[in-house]
Amino acid sequence: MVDKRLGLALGALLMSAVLAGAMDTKVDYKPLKITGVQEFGQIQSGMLISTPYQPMSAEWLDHFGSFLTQEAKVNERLLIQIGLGGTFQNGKPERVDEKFGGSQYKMFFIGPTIAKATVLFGEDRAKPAFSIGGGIFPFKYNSQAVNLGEYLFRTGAYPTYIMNGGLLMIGDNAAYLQGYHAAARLGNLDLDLLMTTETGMPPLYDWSLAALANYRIMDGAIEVGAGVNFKRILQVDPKRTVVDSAANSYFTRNGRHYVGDPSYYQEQFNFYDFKITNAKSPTSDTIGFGAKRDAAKAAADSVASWIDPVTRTVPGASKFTPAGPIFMAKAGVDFKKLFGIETKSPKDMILYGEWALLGWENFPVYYEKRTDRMPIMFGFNLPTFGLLNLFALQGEHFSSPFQNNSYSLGGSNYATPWYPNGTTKEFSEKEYNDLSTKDDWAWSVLVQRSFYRSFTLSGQIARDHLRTVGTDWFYGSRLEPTEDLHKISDWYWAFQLAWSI
Amino acid sequence: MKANWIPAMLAGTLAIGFADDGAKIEYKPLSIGALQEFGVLKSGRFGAKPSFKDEWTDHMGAFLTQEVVASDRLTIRVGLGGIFEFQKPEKLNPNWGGTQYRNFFVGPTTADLDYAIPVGGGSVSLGLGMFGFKYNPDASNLGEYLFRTGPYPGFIWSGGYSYVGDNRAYLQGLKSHYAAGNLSADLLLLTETTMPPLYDLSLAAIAKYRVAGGLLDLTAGVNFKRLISIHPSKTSKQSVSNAYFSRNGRDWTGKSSYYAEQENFFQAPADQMGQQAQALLDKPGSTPDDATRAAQLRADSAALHFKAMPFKNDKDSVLYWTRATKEGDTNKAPPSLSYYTQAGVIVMAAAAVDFKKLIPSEMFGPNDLRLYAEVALMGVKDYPIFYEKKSERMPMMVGFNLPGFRFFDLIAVQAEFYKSPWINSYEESGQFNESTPFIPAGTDRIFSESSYKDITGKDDMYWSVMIRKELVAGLSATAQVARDHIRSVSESSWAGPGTDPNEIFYSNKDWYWMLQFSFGI
Amino acid sequence: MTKATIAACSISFLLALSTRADEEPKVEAQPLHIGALQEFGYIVDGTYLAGTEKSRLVHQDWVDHFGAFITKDVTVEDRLHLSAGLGGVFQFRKPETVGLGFAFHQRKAFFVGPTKAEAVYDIGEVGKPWLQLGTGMFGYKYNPQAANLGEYLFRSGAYPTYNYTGGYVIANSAGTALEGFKALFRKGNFKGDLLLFTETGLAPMYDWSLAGVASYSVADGLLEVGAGFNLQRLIQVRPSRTANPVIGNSYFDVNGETFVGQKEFYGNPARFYAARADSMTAKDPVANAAKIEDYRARAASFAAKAVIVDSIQTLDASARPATKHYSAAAILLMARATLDAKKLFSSDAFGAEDFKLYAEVDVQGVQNYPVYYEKITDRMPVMFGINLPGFKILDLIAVQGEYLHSPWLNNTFQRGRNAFNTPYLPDPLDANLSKDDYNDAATKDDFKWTVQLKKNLGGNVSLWAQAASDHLRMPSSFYFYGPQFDHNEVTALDNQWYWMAQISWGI
Repeated sequence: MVDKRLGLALGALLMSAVLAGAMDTKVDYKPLKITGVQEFGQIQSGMLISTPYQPMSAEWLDHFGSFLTQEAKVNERLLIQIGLGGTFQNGKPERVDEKFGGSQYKMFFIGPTIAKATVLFGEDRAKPAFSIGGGIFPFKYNSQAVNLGEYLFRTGAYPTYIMNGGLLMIGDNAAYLQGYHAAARLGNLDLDLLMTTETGMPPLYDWSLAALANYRIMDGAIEVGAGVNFKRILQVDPKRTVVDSAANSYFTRNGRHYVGDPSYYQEQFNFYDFKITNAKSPTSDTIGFGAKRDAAKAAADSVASWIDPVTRTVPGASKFTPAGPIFMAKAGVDFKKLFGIETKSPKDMILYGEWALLGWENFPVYYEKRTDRMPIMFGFNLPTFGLLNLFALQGEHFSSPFQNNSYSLGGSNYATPWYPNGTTKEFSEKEYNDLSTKDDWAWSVLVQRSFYRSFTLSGQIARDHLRTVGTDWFYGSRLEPTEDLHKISDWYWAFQLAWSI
Repeated sequence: MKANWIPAMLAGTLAIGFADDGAKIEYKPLSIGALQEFGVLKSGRFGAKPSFKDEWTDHMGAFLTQEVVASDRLTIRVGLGGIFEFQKPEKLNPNWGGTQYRNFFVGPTTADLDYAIPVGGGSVSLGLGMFGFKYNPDASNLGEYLFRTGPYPGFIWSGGYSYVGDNRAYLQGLKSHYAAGNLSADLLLLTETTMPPLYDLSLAAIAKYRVAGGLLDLTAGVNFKRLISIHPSKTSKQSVSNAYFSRNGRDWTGKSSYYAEQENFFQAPADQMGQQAQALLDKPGSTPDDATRAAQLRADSAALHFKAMPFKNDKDSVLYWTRATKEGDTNKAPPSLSYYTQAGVIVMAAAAVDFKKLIPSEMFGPNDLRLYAEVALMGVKDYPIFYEKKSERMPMMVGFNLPGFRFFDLIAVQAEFYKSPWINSYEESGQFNESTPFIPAGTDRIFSESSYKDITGKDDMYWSVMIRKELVAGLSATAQVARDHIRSVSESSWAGPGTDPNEIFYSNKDWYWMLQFSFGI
Repeated sequence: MTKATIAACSISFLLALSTRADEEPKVEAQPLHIGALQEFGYIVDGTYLAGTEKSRLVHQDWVDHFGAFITKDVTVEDRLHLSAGLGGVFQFRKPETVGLGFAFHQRKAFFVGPTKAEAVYDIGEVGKPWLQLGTGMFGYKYNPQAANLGEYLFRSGAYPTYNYTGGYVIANSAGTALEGFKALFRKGNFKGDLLLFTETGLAPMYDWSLAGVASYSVADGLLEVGAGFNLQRLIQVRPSRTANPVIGNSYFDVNGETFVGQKEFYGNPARFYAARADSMTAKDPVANAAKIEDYRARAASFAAKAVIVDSIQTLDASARPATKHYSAAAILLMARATLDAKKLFSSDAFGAEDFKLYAEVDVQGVQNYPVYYEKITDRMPVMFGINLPGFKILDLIAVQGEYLHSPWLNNTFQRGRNAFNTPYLPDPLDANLSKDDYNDAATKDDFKWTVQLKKNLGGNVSLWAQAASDHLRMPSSFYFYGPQFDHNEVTALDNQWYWMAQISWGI
């Protein structure tokens, strides 16, 4: 693997060598771009998985960001983009403590917003047919995905998680990538190839290879696209990517599949046992729980006994891995162009959808069905009759049997799902972890109005995959491991004013 | 105070009255730059943690700098920027204590002003602020010792938050520069705001002379480091463990751990062997072979114990004598203590020969065929026990730029010899503000294999190979392979720059490679 | 008003602007502003901590700050002014603790953030608008003479009673910055500002305040008078945080006497006086007999009340007497005046700031509360000052004094630690804060002063020098809330002061 990494470096060097060429320098500076954004809103109901669990009701949020971006073109061939900026916000839950551990102070998440160099090829330098570049940069392939969607770079397969938003609630709908990007613009066909390194979600530094194609039909009335992201195809430290531990493994014994984590079964036992023990009288709610309890206990005890006490692994077990290809397909129909309707807003009357498969391979117990890893987003931009620039309705179906959670990656680098304590009623009401059956639908309504060319006023109401900055979490982007909105009845509203020139 | 404390301050500052008095103001284009580097640290160790192999590392930085010239004389520069990177070692923990999240080391990259005064045939400039400073343009990685070293404890830096091309010192204070013909000189009064103890003022001077149109460049300098101490009690800490004294015709240090760890080197395995022997004898069904093995272990243990005894005696003596000092018991005749200090005079000399001047040819790039060297003495004064020989505080760097024939902009090959009996570390300064070297644990078998801290006999050679190519105007690729003095942003050490006090590559066999893309305009 | 009202107001405010036509605008960009500063000096004598830790006295503690800033200003169609800035200040947390680990503090902290991010729209004549509407994050200063002390309408709180001076930079740092909306009205010699802003500095977060500030200039600037109000935390996003409904933040009546729910208010002085009595008894019980008796009596009195509060605390909430709670919300008032005496005698010898006499008086909370906040005069800082003549050699020689007779230390501990709106009650064994009487340090901090000098070197460089005993706080190595400063002001005790020198440059 070390050789592969060296190969990566040499490949990058070789790629760069083709760019070499001496010439006189002419620099064309664009005006410095300045951006400010303020948003505030309220989580009407939700929950944080801090210790203890923190149900949220009418939880206020306030974010403030400021950004500077400079763009310059050297000899009309090298495009350099540099941006610095950040957002102020407070961690959640807001914990009253004057010392470290308290969260009553503003955090400023600052960094390069873009730092990219792109070499342009082709005669038309304003619209180059081919470009190759690299750095840190936002990337967005689905312009209609104003909130939900954009799965290729905002999801993980094992554990299965979906992100949207980031340090802002509204408009933070691109993926921020670090690596290399080659693009070809060939008439109606757009092709992109990306080699990116993982610096957002542990295990760190792994490289992914992604390819995307987009095709416009009938002058853009219909648009179709597809892509694949071979996530973590190059692992800089395979021991971190694929952790050799019982809790990150699966195996077959006596004709049955097991995972090597006894707690997974123990928590199920705890749930059934708690329900039976605390039932005031046997009711229909606990019928069959006795058998399930005994089965869970037997599985927990068996798995525990199969773990080698020295190596802390199960002999012969296979390991879960967060690596795996993610596939995406998308399509959009612009009814304005299709039927020749003239409207003031170019975003009106577009119907669109995006589908993804988060990991091709099935694994026993945790990841047995591909349909459990298939988010489907669909949306329609309502006609705004010139009153608004955008009125987007989005829906999403994602029927995963687990919470949308990345905790295992942060806590142990395991590619396993997070599962709750069996006795926590917020997660397990009538069945163990039945909260995960109440979160299959997500939705979002976004209205936007631009004025005076520099301002954009937005309002958003949604039950999406929002994560807030965690007071207790210190991995990845420091966002909550689980989405804040755990069930379809959870939602928030937000209002944003952004200005940029 | 009401909301938004931070911007209140900053906005208030911006409100400084910089009235336009009609001066000619020339704004330079905003300078922008960024870098991305990644590579593998082949082997080494972070601080005193277990050693590692094949550790991937990745840094990403971006910078903005604005320069303005007023009335052709006053140059003002302000830059902001920062680098994303991860603490090492990477620690799995989703809560506080985990290190799997990006840190952004952000701050002013430069914020200074220079005022130029024409003087006769030369020029003088006076300035102040925070600025990058580099006196040895050939020191592409190793070297540049005058501002990248400390005397007591002796430590050397290379790199910084990035590992490739980060080859200058970042200083804060007053500066002046004089240039006339082939002579140039710099005088600097600097405040220490990176390495503890903080704020001390240093006075430094550097002179350069160019011979035969650049065939030979000569440079010499001196840095009166921590000449003015803001907190003398921190710069020269008056603690027993930062002291030395004479007793019975011999020099001693009050840092008893120096003796204790040497004792531990022998005593810890001796104790272990003793326990193993006892376990063999106590084992149910013990055999004659076990008894023989136990006897051998006991003999070996006794031999090691015998070797530990002199150090134990030294430790006990020092503890006994210095306890009298601590308790103020004059009846026990406390020794008269002298104290090590972090203040010291660093001197440096450098020379470079440009062979291109002898064989002029268009085929060579401006950096090609330069042979150069730099030597420094990190502390003119000797001290007993820890700093007895000047030659042990003298890093010597030599390098040669191979011809790149205008295809490569730089192919620099550097080597350094630094024969210190101590580990390159500022641990004691950061941990206790003491001026003594890092005393590794005697039980640390990475640093002490056959004899106590014998690793210091295997870490004298450093080397670096750097190849740089400007791909297109403004965009460069640089590859570096080296064993140098880089340190990593630490998981557990937060003093000073927040890096581990020890260099990563603790022995001659450790090295890394790194590839960097940088662009700027 | 409710939180939804805030959103509705915001939208209305912005829609008012959005009626402008979507034409290609004329854009005029100013050159990038850059600035930097360095300041250093000594806390000659000061006090750190005073929270759960006892206070710690420092002598000659060096301070060094370094900041850099960039700001871009753009004007659209001559009327819309957009600004964005980023910057930060390097400094070291205090007290500096020696060690390598995270818990120790010998490393630079960089307090970085947006310095400014605002949009302002002019209504009226181009270049001389009668009304400006703005939003974003913006600096605000209503008293130009408040070189260091003063400006408390936005730099203070009522319950607990605290005020700030300085910030991440100490000299030339007497403004505030607000996040929200503003309307600035200008008509002749009259200025009127209306501000609606949100709290993101000191917890409880996000509450919205409504403030109005007006000033009027008489006789070509000979006299300027001003007044203002700040309905602090008028709209509370979470009322339970603003007025924490717990016993520790409460007061109640028992047998006709009002008690507070913090047992320490009675327990701490009881322990202090008992300890003093014990100490004197051990030294010389005969000579100190009278004092010992007095101390014992006072200790017993406080202890008896502590027992009552303790008994109330142990009761079930439903069985307790009716409790009321201290709130962080308050009405702040301000009045000020400036007399420019040099207008009385015409001379070219004087600089623009010379010979100005000025004063500001504030009310930090109109409402009285039992026990802790019983007298409005205890919450009324009076600042007065004069700018001595610099004769154009020095641009400013400001001498300021201030009197605030608060019975409490200027300390935000309870807000950060417990979300209580109650004063700091020092540890009874903290000898720095309680010498002859419990918490008697609070009686020795009534008078504050500042001397500030300024010299501009050309148009781009300024020198500042400041000596003061004021309300300075610095980033703490112990506390992490709000701006991450110490709870208590640094120059809290008798004869404590600091000096600071600063050079700043920019263009």
